[in-house]
Amino acid sequence: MSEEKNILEVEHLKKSFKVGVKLRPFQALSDVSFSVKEGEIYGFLGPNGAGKTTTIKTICNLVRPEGGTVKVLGGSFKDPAIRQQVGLMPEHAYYHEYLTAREFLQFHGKLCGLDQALLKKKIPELLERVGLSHAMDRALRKFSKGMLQRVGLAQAIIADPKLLILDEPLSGLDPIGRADVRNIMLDLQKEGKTIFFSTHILSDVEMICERLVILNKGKTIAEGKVADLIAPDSDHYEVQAGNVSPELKESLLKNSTLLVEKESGLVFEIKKEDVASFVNALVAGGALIIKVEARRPSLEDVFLDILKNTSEAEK
Amino acid sequence: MRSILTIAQNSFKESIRNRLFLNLLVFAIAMIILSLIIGTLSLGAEKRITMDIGLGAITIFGTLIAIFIGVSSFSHEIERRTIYTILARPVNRTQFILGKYLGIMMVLAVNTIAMAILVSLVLLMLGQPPTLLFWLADIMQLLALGVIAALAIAFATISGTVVAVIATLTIWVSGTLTDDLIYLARRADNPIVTGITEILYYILPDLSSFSLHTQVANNLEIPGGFISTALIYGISYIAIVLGLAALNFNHRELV
Repeated sequence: MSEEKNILEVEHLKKSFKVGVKLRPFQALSDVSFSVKEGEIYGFLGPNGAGKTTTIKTICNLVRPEGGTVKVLGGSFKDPAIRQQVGLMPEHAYYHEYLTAREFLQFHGKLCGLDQALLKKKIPELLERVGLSHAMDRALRKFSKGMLQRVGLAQAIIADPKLLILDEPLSGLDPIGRADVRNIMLDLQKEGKTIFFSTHILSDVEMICERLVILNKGKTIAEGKVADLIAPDSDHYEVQAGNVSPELKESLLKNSTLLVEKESGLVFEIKKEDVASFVNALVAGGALIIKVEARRPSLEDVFLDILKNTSEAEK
Repeated sequence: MRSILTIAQNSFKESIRNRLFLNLLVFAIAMIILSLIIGTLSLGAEKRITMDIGLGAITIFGTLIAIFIGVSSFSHEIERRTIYTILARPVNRTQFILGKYLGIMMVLAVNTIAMAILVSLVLLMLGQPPTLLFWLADIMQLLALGVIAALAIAFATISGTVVAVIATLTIWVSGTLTDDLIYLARRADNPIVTGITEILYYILPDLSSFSLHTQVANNLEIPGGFISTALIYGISYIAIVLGLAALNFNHRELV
């Protein structure tokens, strides 16, 4: 896996639309930049309306950018040879509902130039892979949203693309379905594919991405490694302790915050300078110390923090 | 070319699975069967009446299919956003338009041939075999439907389903009245009215130039040069309309 080669590069992308009766301009994208390296799973994170789908549409030449550049596999998405190496799964599953899953994949396979003999072999394998082999000859109009997401993923990978662009691939799936699709994405990465996927579900990014870009109000507000963005907060610590009496708990809460309270123990958040005295107080009070570690913020914390800082900077 | 054929096949599949198409087909068959009853009641004119009603049914139902199925097969791809995954393939927008057009033409050809066979069977039941002229009139009618389908697709590239259907219906009605239009243009006193109607005459499709209904009904000779003129006119008109549609669609943003 080459760490250096960029497979998707977006620089200073701008796009506005005319909206309403008065056709007032709406700046959907004001400055979007990021680059996706070959072989990685790259997260594209942002709240609803941040411009994720508009960015994907611009990358896929469905809308024209007003400024900035997009390079897909070193070239332009307008080039059919480039498109042959890309699989797109758009947001919301809008597919030809009158086709069966098999016919739908045949249609997309033929558009990619795959021959009938190959498709005959490949389609059942693909549907098996996405967990739809039982619904091969069922019309898509009878599919649930989760099933449509799966068949959408199957059409995106039918031509064995180098780059997969997936717009909210995990939405509409139940927990098992989410885990299945995440595992498929990880398997595809092992096969050498690059995956660029948008989501507003932070835990999915945390679980499968190496790097991500965060978008807000049409602007890139952060880009980097997931591990760096959720680096431990050295100013705050979490202490987990068991066997804490109500009196002890009451006294400890004077200089700490209770994060979790369950049978197995309590989790407190304290400042770095209070760690020693806090631990001493626990031991003296007869509590059992289970864990002491620097607090690791969730991606949600990071996300909200960046959004807050951006809003403050704009003011 | 393979992409165009794949899109055409898919479009054909969509159309024949469309309830609207099946409903129109049932009505068309009912109308042809009705021609059998009317034919048997009109002593001495069974063949004429049956062929007249049959050709009328092929024209009307073919036109409705060309307009409604033609527009919806294109605009559904945009409104339901199924076009996104198609254009992400090695397929360009012009190929997409040609594929959709070819698909609707396949539907129209199947429909026209099936209805013509049905009319022929009715004629045989009346003891009156269909003439070559009747079949020629069907082929020319298919060419006229090709012009209407091209307009339906062109309007669908620039507007939504309802507007595209209304626009194509309007052009179809106007296209059947072009002879009256030029007559009015030449009689008008106002030069502006004359100018506008003359321009409209040349822009609107002259659908009467494909019609052999009068010849079929009255068993008349085909006017000299009729077929070649209609072929050149029809194919050129379709090419220009689809060319303009592609030109526009290549610049359209799929928001």
